[in-house]
Amino acid sequence: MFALGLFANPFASAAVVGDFHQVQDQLDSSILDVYDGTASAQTTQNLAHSWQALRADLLDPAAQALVPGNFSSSSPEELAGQIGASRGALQQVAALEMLANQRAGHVTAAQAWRDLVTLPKFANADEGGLLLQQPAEQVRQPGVTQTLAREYVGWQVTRTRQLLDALQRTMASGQANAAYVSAKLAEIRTLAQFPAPLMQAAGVKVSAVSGLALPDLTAPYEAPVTTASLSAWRDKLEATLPNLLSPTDVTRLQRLLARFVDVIPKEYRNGVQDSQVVIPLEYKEAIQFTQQAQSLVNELAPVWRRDQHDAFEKYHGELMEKLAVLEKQIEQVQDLAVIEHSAGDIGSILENRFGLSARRAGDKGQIIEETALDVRDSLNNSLAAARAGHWQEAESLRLDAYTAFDSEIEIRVMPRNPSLATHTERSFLDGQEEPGIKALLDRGAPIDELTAGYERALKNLDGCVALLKVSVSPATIGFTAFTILAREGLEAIVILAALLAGLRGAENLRTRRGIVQGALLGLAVSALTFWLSQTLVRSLIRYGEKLEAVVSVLAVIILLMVTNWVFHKMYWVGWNARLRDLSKTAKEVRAPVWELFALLGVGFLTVYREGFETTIFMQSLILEGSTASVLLGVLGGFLFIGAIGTLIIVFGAKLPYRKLLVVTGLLVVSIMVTFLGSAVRLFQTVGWLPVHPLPGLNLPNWVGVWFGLYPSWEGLLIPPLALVYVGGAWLYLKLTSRRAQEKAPLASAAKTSVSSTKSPVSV
Amino acid sequence: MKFKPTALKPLLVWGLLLSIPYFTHAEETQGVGAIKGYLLTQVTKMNAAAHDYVTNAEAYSQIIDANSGDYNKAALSQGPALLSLVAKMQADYRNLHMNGYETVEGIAAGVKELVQYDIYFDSGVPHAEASTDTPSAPIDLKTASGETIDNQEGNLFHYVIEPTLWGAKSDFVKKIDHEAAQKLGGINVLPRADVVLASAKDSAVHADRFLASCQNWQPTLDECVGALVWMTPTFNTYYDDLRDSLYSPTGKYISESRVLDMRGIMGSLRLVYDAIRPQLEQKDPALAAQLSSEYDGIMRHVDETDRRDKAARAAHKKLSQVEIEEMAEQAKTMSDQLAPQLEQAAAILGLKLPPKPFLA
Repeated sequence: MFALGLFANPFASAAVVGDFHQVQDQLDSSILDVYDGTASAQTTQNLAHSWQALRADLLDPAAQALVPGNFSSSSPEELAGQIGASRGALQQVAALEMLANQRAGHVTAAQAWRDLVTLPKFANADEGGLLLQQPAEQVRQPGVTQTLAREYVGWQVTRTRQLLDALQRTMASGQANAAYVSAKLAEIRTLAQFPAPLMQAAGVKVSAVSGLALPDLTAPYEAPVTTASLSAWRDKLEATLPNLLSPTDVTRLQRLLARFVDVIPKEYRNGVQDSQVVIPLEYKEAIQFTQQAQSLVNELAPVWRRDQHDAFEKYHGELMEKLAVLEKQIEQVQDLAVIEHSAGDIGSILENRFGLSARRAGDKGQIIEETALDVRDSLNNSLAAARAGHWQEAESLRLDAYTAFDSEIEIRVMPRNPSLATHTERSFLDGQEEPGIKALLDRGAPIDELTAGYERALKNLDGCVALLKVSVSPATIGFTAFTILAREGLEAIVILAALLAGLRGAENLRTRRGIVQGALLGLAVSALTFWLSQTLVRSLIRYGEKLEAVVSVLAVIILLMVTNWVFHKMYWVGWNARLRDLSKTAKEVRAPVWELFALLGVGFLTVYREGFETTIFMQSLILEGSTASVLLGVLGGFLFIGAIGTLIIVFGAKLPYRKLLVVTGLLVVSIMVTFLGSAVRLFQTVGWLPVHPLPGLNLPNWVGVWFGLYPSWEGLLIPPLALVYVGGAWLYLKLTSRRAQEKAPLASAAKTSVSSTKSPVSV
Repeated sequence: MKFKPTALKPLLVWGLLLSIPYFTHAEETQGVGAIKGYLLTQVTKMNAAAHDYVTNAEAYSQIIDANSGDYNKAALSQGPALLSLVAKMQADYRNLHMNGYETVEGIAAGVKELVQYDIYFDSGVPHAEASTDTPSAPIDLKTASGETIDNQEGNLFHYVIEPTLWGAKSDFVKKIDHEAAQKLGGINVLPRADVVLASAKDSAVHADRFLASCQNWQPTLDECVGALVWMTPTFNTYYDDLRDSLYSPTGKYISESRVLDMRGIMGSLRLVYDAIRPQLEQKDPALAAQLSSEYDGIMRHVDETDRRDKAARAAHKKLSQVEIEEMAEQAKTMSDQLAPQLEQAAAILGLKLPPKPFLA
């Protein structure tokens, strides 16, 4: 039966391969005849003859139906179009014959037809090839048919896009002529027009491309109007291409696209200085990433058309146009600002219109962990691919690892330790003292050397992750939370104690009770505020470090207000006096409801004012670190102020309040410097501030953790400005106070306040 | 004890079985040995051309020196001799490059021990354009005038010798006055003698080293298939060179049509494939036939390109950019097709492909 099968198989004659190549060669040669103007009636006859010879070899009626009839040489464009369409048809014929032979169990013939299919660059042909190694009975299974058909459709969808890319580039370069355009358009359309039996075999929706008319393009082909017409036609054609991407593929490709766009200006910045290419590798990668971004947009187009229809209709054209412009700008080695602007525009479209961001959303610590895992995974797979001799795959995986590192980790490490960030980045590329992975892959280095290169990159990655972990140390966060709560709580206690001290005796019991109830209410509302602000922050968590940056500014403002007190006595005095007035008024009010309300207000304002500041500040700490370490610090703070409060209010102890307030105040000033440093770093991370590294300067991690100083010009100069501000304010007050004393030595408004109330609290 | 012929049977069977690896190895050695034989023949010719270039460059320099370095005076007094020597040096270059190195480039550029010569002679780029995947040529020439020509310039063939001998790079030639030019039949530049001599001596030194390296090279089947895997996909890039030679005023690729290079390179790869084909045929005759057919297709494509290039030149035209574009696309389709099939062949033969060769 096998022998009979072989006998019935036209491949038994081995002439089919020859006939197929004859058609292919004839098509290749004829199109060149058209281009150089030597095509003749003989050319068309040769074409028809070669096709007829192949037709005799075909088993499948659908394949036979694709064989073109006569060719016409009435005009070069017409003949070019027929040749182009023939090229596309030849691929479909090979696929249909492959399936017909596979279904019939003619394994060798199916393999041979499959080998004749033109593959796109870097095609993966393993799966189908392995299936066809099985015995004939297994090869005939419908599952094999579907795999082979899907594999073929995938290849030709990629080839269709590659041909479109090539046509667009040739047209844009001004090299295309009418015959060339006609041939390419016809080939692309035919290739995209998968025969119905093939689509059914692949289990995908039948294409409607047959109704798609060719665009009417006229010379000059590089004219914007012409290229725009081609782009519009491409959009329509892309809409008909079957989508074989799984949801996981889509997610991966979308993230890769956003990362490419994110990385382009960075590569350009590294590769070009003063419009001169200084590092060709980085410059070439900027071009390569732009081209790959265009390919990805094309690949994702059918998915967006289906899932994000409105955004696709409005912005897909603009996106492609801007990417093409960016590519041209990079090729012309334009100014960095131009490149950054263009890439920024593209990034905005992706983020705001298609919801794609190079950065992951969510908890920062988790993002770093996940990204580090991804990068490690990609690097390990890349090394495995290189070990197996699959160099292109190894390079592709290296690129995945590099873009992930660049988008999520390097950007965070750069403000903290530019030297480590750059060193690690270079270990993915050409390396610094020792060769990087890209350099090793490019020269196909021996495995030992290659392994060492990957290990270096992984070690550097570990260093980056460790640094990011250090910067969010729970101890630092806990200590800061404790300090702030202790400080703010102490303020509230001191004020409350001062108020209550003037309200001794049974006659003031009601007033005291009202103030204490108000204070407790203030505490409860502070807790509510904490919960509300936490909910708000969580709802905005997708903005990641942008949210952190904004909240860190709020935190610095609050710290400025808090430290203001230390040196600005009027702030304290004025507030205290206002509370006393309110308390006094409450006592004088006749209506009991209003009196209660006023007393509650006094207690409430005393506590809530500090509580509000504290809760807002804690949000910044939670974003920077973790809720657990903040809660631990808060607990410690409550214990501290609880103890102080009991000593003062219950036992009437006289403590060195002023010293306590000054010590905690100085702590707060140091925290403010750290926070300003942290805010600068966050602004650099999200790109709102530049990073200008200081070459050769390496600071230990604790300098950043405790003093908020990081090794860049911005990271070193801005945080100490807080000290300059506080020192300036202190000096200003000293001077104005001295001047005031000189003018009226006996008139001191401050002395009329706290100390004149006979309070035990003297500030 | 009576001799039993049947007792020999197991011995015979074992003998046959044990001899299989020997025959297989012998066949392999024979295949890769043929590659080495071809390589040595071609590089010996190249070496001879390099030394001939030195002889002619010395003669050329002597004329210039005899005229105290005055090129006008030299042209006026010994114009025909100068022109003859320039023509001879151009012929030397063709033998050194097109008929020499290019015929083995497919092997040299794909083998670790030899790739340094490819970068030095033919593929290295100027230092400013170099990156990890396109290394610079480590050339370091000292001319008699004390000038240094180093890796800022690019490889020896296309950035130094060719533009010097064809007068395409102003730094490496001397412009002569009208009267002297008339003596040279209208040619108004002459190659600088010091550059010519320095490049000639350097090419001879490196051709000697190249020949020695080829003699020491012990080819293996892995390396030969590796050379095919790494070099075949570069086929379409030669069409960029063809376009450059016809349309780009860079001074590179001006001496001859790049089609000759294509034939040399792809021809040498074809030869490598022919050497390994017998082994592949034993394991997978269909794939062996397919690869053979595809290399045939590549060679036909080179012939077709050559035919069209010659026809255009005969008609005093150039191949149009669209034609070159089309031919490059066809070449790319062919080489893209071959790459995965070659890897498949390596897997079937149980070979471990060596990494891409590179100048370490």
